[in-house]
Amino acid sequence: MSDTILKIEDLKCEIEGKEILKGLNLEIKKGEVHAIMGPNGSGKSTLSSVLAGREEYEVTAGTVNYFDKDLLDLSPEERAWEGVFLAFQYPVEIPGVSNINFLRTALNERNKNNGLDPVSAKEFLAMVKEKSALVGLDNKLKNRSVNEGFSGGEKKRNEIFQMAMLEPSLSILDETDSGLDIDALRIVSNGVNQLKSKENGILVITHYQRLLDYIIPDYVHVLSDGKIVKTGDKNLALELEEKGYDWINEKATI
Amino acid sequence: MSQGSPNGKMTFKNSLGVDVSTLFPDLVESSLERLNEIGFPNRKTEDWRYTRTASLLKKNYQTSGLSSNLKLDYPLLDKIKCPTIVFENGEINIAASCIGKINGLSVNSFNELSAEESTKVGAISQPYEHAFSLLNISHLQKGIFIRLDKKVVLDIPLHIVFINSKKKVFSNTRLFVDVGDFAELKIVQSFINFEDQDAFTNHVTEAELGTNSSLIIEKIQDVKGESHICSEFIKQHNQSTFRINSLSAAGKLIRNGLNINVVGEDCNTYLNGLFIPSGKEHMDNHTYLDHAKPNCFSSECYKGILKDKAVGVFNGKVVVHQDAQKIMAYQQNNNLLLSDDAVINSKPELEIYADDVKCSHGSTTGQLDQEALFYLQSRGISKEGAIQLLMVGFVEEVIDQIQVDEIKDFFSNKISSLLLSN
Repeated sequence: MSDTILKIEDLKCEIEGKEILKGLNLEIKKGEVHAIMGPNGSGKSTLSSVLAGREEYEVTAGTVNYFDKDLLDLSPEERAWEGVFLAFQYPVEIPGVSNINFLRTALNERNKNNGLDPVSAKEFLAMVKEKSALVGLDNKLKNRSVNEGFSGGEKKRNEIFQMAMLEPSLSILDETDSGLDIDALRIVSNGVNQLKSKENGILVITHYQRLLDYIIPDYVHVLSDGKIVKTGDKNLALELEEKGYDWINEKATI
Repeated sequence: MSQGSPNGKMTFKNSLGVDVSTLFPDLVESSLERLNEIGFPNRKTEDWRYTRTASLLKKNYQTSGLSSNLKLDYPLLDKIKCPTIVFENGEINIAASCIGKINGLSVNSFNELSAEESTKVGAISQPYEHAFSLLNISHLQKGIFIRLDKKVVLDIPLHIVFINSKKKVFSNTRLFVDVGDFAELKIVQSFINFEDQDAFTNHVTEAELGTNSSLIIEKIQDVKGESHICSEFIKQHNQSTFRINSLSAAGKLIRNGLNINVVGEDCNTYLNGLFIPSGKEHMDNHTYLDHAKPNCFSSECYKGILKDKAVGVFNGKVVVHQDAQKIMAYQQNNNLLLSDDAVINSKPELEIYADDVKCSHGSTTGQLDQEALFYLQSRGISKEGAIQLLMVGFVEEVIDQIQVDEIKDFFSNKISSLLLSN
């Protein structure tokens, strides 16, 4: 099997008739961390939405291959079963649905669809204990309704806790740093770093460089007006932080 | 009786095809008289604006007695065995009941009441001049007087099952529940029928809660094809707690009318309900709560999930009288519409004459949260599973209030299966 987890070629997509992604290319291999940076409105969140399978976005051209599968052909839940995970920029509050029960349902549905046995209660609880420690998620929060009444930082920790529980092959972190103070940022990043392995890939989408001090990317891509206009290593992020996005735009127009 | 009404509406005695009651002759007479004066609600009656009953009173019904071998094939009935009283087609089915002997609890048919007990029947409901309660008294078939003595705490619930087993039955039944001071009682009322029967149930429960007593009613209405009017008249004395949780699972027309008169201080009242109509079903929950005395707490939470062309009604009225200071009264109604054709009429009302109270009411109606749906799917839960989780989550607040474990399980399972059948 090849080392490529995700391969996006010439992806174009629109929402309500407005083209957002205008021919995007990206390849993520096993063990790699990619960061996508870009100004507001460049299409960062659209990319994560398309990859996770949000219906509102219409793909008009291009392909997205995930291992040997056409990702765009799969429903959001099928993508999850295959190992795609999106950490939401704004995690949703779901009153009345317990955080723990919902995760157990999710794990068991995945196992069922992958022909595996359900997780036993004992295994599950051991897993919860181990994984929640990664991000220091309070015991009380695990048993509460999904994200209900969680602070901004708690919601983001809960996202990474879920990521740890689901053990995805490809994780997309959509502006995970937004709304986090410096301590929470460190905890969340630390959690992500521990989940990084030779077998999985991580795509970090962010507006600011500061997250990349903690989650060190192998590649940094700059997204502007629906296309990747520049790719470099982690130093590109620092340069961007210093010079601002206008620097890229100027260069791009030259 | 038949020609008593000036507007010609009161011909029910002939046209409904059932006889007036032989129980409580004085009450029957005064009720019929009053009914003739006030008439049945029509579309101009504000309280019945969304629930039309005229067609109910034009049909021809029957009283069809007991089956020789009644089969009680209903999941809940396996779980709660004794004490159980079974009403069938408005009559008491002794063979299917099982009362046993419980210290401090007396359960008597209305036919065998003491003079003192007799005077209580109707005493709480009559001042409301509720047309269907008057109809209930005047056409009463069987009723039961339940008394729990002072200081007796009954842990096991008393289960009362109401079954209509024949077509076009008109069942008029009534309970009077007398909870002594410091006594605690739980009652499960299950209204069920096994097939589409075009029956008409007109049930009334009266209850009087003594000082420091507690009464919990868990009510289940699973009456497909039936027209069903169920009215409660509750009187609460000092420091008493009344709680009712009702689940309306199926019914052609269901009208729940709760009338709570809190005449004591330091009382607690909890009114909760779920209604899940589908097809062309119509489910109405009306609550009327009087706070006459200070320092009381009341909380109402009604949730509806409506699909197809179903209609739901919530009307909750809380009246805080002038002397009733330091009242806390909360009222909430949330509805989930699963189709474009489903309709909900929601009307929370507060009428406050005291100046030092905390009251709130709120009503929300909406569709399933698409963002939440996507969130669950993106974690690997199928769309169907996610919809079900969201709906179960939506009703959780009410389920949480249920005090009898068997009922809680039953409710949860019932709701899951109802929601699955979407």
